[in-house]
Amino acid sequence: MTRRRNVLPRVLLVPAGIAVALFSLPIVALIARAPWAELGSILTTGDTRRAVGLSLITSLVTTGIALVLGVPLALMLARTRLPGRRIILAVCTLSMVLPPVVAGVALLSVLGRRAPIGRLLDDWFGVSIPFTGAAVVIAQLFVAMPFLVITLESALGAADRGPEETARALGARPWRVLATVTLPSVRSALVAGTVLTWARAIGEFGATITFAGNLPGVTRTLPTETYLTLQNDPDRALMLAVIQVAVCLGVLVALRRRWTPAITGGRP
Amino acid sequence: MRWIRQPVVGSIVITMLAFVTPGCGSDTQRLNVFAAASLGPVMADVEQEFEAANPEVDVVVNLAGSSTLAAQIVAGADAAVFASANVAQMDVVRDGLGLGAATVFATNALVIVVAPGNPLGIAGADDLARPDVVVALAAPEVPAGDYALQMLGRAGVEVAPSTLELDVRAVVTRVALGDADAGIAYLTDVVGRADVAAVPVPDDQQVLVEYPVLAIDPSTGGPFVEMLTSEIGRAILRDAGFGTP
Amino acid sequence: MTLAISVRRDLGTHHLEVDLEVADGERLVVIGPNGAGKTSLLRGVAGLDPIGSGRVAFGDEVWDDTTTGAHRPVEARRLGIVPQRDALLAHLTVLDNVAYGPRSRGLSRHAARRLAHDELERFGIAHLAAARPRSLSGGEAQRVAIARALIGEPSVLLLDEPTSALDLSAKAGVRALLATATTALARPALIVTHDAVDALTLGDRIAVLEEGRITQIGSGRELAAAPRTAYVAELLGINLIRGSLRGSVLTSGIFELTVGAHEVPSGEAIATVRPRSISLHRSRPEGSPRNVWRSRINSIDRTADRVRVRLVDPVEIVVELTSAGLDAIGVGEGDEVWASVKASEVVVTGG
Repeated sequence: MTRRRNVLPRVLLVPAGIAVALFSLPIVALIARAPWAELGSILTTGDTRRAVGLSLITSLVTTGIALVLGVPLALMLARTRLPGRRIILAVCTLSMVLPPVVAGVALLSVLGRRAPIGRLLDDWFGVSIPFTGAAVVIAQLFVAMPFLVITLESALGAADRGPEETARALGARPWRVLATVTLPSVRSALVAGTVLTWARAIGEFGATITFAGNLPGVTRTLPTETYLTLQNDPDRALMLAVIQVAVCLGVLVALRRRWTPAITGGRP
Repeated sequence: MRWIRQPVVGSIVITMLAFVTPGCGSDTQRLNVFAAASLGPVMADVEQEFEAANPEVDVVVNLAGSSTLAAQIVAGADAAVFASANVAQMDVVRDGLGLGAATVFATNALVIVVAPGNPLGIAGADDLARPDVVVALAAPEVPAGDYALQMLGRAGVEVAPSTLELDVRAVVTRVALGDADAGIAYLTDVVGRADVAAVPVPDDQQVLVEYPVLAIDPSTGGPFVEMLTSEIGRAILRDAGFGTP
Repeated sequence: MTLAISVRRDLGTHHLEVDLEVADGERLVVIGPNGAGKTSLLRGVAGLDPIGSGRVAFGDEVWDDTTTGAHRPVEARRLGIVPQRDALLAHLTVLDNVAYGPRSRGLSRHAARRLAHDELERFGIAHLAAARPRSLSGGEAQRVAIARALIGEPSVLLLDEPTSALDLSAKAGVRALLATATTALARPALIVTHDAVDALTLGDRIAVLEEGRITQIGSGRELAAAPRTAYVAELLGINLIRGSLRGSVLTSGIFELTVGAHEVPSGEAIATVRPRSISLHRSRPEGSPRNVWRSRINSIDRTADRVRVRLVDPVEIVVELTSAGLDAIGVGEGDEVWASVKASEVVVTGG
């Protein structure tokens, strides 16, 4: 292997280093300050287990629904001449820039018990969305799904259409083209978008607390549990934060092993 | 300092310096008041009065949950005054910094918050246990939630809340938006609001809610505490629905 | 069955206005400059692009008819198609690329792969079965693409610039493969190219497409002898002489031609000679040209101030000169004449 000479200006090391410090120091400090001696007792309490379990379940359900809804949306936006598709794309990704609490209020304004759609659900089916696990998932979807849509849409937009046409000319029907050519060609974006969506979902706090509320075992996810614990037991809160970091790292590492080529776009 | 002549870098550095050295270049003296979120409107009025009387002082009010503020102060935040929504968090600060006694400057009462006109006919704590009533409480980790639990204990009622909000104002918002039928909040949270109504809590179930204040830095914070406990401050507090001892 | 094409489409800069028929077993080459509408025509026939107004039919099977609104989707046309670039599906192996069509048409994975393997063997590239397209040379990739196009008895063959991405030596092999494979298939083949050698070697007929219209159609010989536009004259009025090359001499029957410097290996080869680089003389010329031969004028075609003289015996060759030049020599149809060309004007390519 020949070592290539670096062509980047060395000065760039300074901002890059600051960036690394910005990311790593708080995490290192978090790990250093966490009361590791209490890890066992914190992990085994019902509150922690309920919150971790709820966070894992809701974030995974969210990711699954995001795939079912978001992949078709990205395909529609990237592959059809939908009128106003740019506006639709902007609207569908607006929640990324919305303060999460505002996102929660927005959801309440539609699905709250006295809000237009929420009232219909309540009147017709006796269903009330807020304060339920479904509300947690909806809140997570609202803020997290855009990551999948935007990642996939831009990859689809950049992808060459030639292979799809070739597949059609060879006799493949639309579903087969989608499954055997289109989606494989954007596999890395699909994986990256899915991981981003899941990560955003499991860390979601503001929209969840505002829209879904907070009840142990029903709507109290790990971030909410951590925030509440911070009020009167900061040590336990730190430990919960470390647990959250560990859970996310664990899932990412597990995925990475399976998907390394896809995530890094083929670079080892 | 050749690099600072580069306009972009220079302006960034200058902007950052401006942020880390507040008040730099002005003659006013800054006074940081850390106050419980529920005291927001009161503190805004007192700030105005105080600055009118002391033009050389710039009062900056930092509103948050009492426990958050207490943690910040113990961790070394530059607070001249701490006004807490409960005695427990004041004790955290006093123990943490080794300070003397605080002064109770205001009291509050709990009420049951319901929709305007009280459509479900909620008369007291007993009705909060009805299965058709969706109840929002503050989480027990925050003072309002703790008080609410005390109140329900005195009433001998077991309530299954639908949500435990992170602060008491969110409880009122839940009722105002109609997602909850009832909640327990402070009287001051509903005074002057048309989108919710209050059902009073009988005295034998009522909880004593006291707001202690302490000048952490007596030389600068002392005068502010004095104004808060003076007749000017008491009038502002009473307008907002607080009791004054 | 015949592929009948009638297309009228606005391409922005000009109109595409083409009527063509391709018979079973016929290779029709559409040649034209870039932007003439060749690819639009091919994509229209494939069903990948709209045809504007008109009709495309294969036998009684109507693929597109804008008067009735009939449309058969691309995937139902049973096309054998070789796209212009990146023909192969990059994430599939060679075997699965070739098996893709049969699999799409309903064969089981196993059966499709077996069929594909047989096809690869037929093309002598079975050893590439497990390879990924990225690891193939241009020539190998194009062979795979052709095998994939020919598998499963396609209705028609559509080839878009089948050799344009290849280097010289690979071009020859792919041309030869295409020639034999399309003959064996005996279906209409529509080939789009801007390469004159492709056109002359592959085309049973050549249609010249300029600015959306067919300006001339006929065999390569007809076009070369009497080009009707400057483009045809420039591009197709080129003499091709097949023969066997040994060193600097190409032998075609009894005719021997000394060729210019080259790197083509000995064996079958094609020499190209521009009509303008050949001189005619009434008697044997004196001096340096390496190639001098006696021939007979078969026909003379005068267009404006240029004259194209077709020589036969011992080889067919077209010579272009000015009217004045021909008059100065004073020869006519049926007369004997001497021709000469410098070796450096004779360019060989692989055969």
